Amino acid sequence: MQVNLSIFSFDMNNLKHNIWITFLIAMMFVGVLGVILPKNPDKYLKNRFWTLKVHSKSKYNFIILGDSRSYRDISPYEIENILPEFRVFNFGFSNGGLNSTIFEAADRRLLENDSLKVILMGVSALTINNLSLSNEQYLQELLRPREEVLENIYFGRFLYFFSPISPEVIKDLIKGDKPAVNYTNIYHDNGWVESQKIPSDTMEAMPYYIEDFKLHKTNYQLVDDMCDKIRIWTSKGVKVFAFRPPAALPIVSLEDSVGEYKEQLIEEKIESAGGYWINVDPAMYKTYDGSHLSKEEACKLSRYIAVKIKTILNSDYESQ
Amino acid sequence: MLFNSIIFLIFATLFFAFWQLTKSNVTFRLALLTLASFIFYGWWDWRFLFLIIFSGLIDYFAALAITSFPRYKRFLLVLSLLANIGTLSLFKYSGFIIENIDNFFGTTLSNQINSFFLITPVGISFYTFQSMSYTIDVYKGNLKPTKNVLQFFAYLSMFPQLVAGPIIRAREMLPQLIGLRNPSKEDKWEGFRLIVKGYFKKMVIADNLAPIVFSAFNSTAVSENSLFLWGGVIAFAFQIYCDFAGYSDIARGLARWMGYDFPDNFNHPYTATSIKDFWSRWHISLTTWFRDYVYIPLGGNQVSKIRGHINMWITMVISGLWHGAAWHYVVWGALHAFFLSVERILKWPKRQYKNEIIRFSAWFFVMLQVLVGWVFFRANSTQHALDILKGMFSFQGELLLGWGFSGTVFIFIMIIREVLIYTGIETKIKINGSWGALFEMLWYALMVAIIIFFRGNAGEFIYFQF
Repeated sequence: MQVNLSIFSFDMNNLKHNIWITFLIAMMFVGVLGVILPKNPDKYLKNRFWTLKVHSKSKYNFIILGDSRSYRDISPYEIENILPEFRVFNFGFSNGGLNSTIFEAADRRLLENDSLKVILMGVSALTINNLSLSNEQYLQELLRPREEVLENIYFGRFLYFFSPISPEVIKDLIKGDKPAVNYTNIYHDNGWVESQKIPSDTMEAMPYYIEDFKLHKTNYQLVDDMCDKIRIWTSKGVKVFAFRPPAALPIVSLEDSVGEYKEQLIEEKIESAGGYWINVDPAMYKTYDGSHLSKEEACKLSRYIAVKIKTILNSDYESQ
Repeated sequence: MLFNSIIFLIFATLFFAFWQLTKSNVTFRLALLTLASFIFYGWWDWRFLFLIIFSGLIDYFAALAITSFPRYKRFLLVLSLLANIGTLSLFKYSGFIIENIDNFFGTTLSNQINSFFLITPVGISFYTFQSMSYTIDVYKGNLKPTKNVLQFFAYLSMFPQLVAGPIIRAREMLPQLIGLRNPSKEDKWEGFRLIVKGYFKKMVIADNLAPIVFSAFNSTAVSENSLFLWGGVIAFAFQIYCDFAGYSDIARGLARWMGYDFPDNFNHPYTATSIKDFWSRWHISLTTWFRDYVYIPLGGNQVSKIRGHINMWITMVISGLWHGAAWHYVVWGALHAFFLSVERILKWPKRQYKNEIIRFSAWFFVMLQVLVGWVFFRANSTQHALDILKGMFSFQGELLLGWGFSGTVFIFIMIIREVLIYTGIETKIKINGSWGALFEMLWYALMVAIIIFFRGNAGEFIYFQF
């Protein structure tokens, strides 16, 4: 038998080792396995998401700041639907603080020549305590080696197709075992993480919050520093809005008592600095783990906040 | 730049594309190789490129001066060795030396040392040894120095083996570099086989075993479960072997694609039936380096029996220290010297081949010694190693190796492979002719797919730190 495919020419009766043929067969194996094997978004897409969030040079006129309760709960898509004049970016980080490190980074991402600019801050107790000062996730991502930055940004999606898998997963697949908890995250380039956990457990996050709040109370000096920044932004024409991200009522209560979060006081300080406080009723939103919202609930909250902002911007515009 | 990174894939693709253009010009070829090697190394930290250049220039000129001024050749050699060992001491051992001075005299010198000198440049031990051996060989008259600076730096900085070996002798490599040998089809296939095998060892076996090893060695308190600790040490034995042998295979494969031949660095060390046999199979290029440049110059075993033992202990302790600036590496080297001494006194390697049961028992006992040695190698300190050994030999706790299903699969792949080698079955199951070629191509294609989908979390090669 003789096969002749331009560069691949071989005689089956006198076959010799050929790297190109081997490579071609390997690609066939890879293609088939890539299609049939399960993927792991929490490796490549997640890495790409965070690297892109920190290292991208894209600019926006509406930036959302805060911790995981902000980057999971506020969808830029919903805000853009209601406020189409804005290009919205969610710049929240896990345990992300509302302090100078993040404010300076946010300044670099704001469109310079746009007359209308908005900062929306999700002010949870964890964003204004001493722990948040370390901005661990942001700085870790900022200091990521150049090689990994390039790899995550330019090859993240490509590598996702080649997600590694373990023999354990193959065994479970063959046996038909499914994980007890189905936790999914969809990472959007606009900084939002659309998440869902089934079954939900509104008390899941409670032990972590108890530990965190015991060790770290709300630092009102940080609130004052944040207000100083709001004054600077306001003086430059940037509109600053803030809200308290919703959580399950026992967590809200814990945040108030053990975390020493005084919503009324924070609201007053922000408003006296020129910002706008948007009241959010936590009882209106269902969390899947006690402090994070699923896609539907996040969209509901985002729409609510966007409408509030629109009303305030319109009334400001009319009063001018 | 790591072999297991996308950046390296791009780098290697570009390099071999340009390499094709240098087929007929040695100078271009050497310039390309040197430039690429500097980019490869500088990608990690460009500041340390000056160290290679400094170390290289000293030996390049020292070797030329040795032949031009034979009256001063001893002085020139000492100068070159001092510069090389001085650089190595400064960057690799200064922290260790000062820490020990502080501990001994109660001083606080470690607070005053410049942090730059506490960074150990990647692969410093490898290229310094390579550079030193060049001058020593010229001094001994075993090698004619090259006047071509590009040829010298292409040899010294050759990127496939620059940061983790194999350590290549100038007398083997310089003649290859000056020739215009282009790889044959067989060379290319052999290079491909080596590269695929290397990546499989590193990315599939070593990287997947790393978390198991980490949990056994890096938990805050040493586990009281004996079997779990044994599981961790066995996993480490395969991790370090596959990590290092994987790097060597990739390096040899890349060299083959360039038309060069690097010596084999590993020969199934876990099939050894004596510690001497183990050292003739493990990190061969380093073992032979120490044999030729430390052990034999000390007198080797051509002296009194006691002196022979002392020479061997000195060599092994230095070898331990070469691996890392910490006492537990020294203990690891000394422990192997002890095992070798016992073997030499009992004339063990010569007695063992009487029957298969003795041979198997010998293998089992050797593996036990090697595993005990690995505990010192991997532990964070000598005390930590002793705690782990205490736990291992307390024979307490649950019947749990801690490998999980995946770890067990990867370890058994390696065990089966080594058993096939040990029993000689591997050589008997080869298929020749067209079907053999077809089968091999399918096998390596499958291995490529397995590397892609069963790779562990990419980690640095362990031997980079040395």
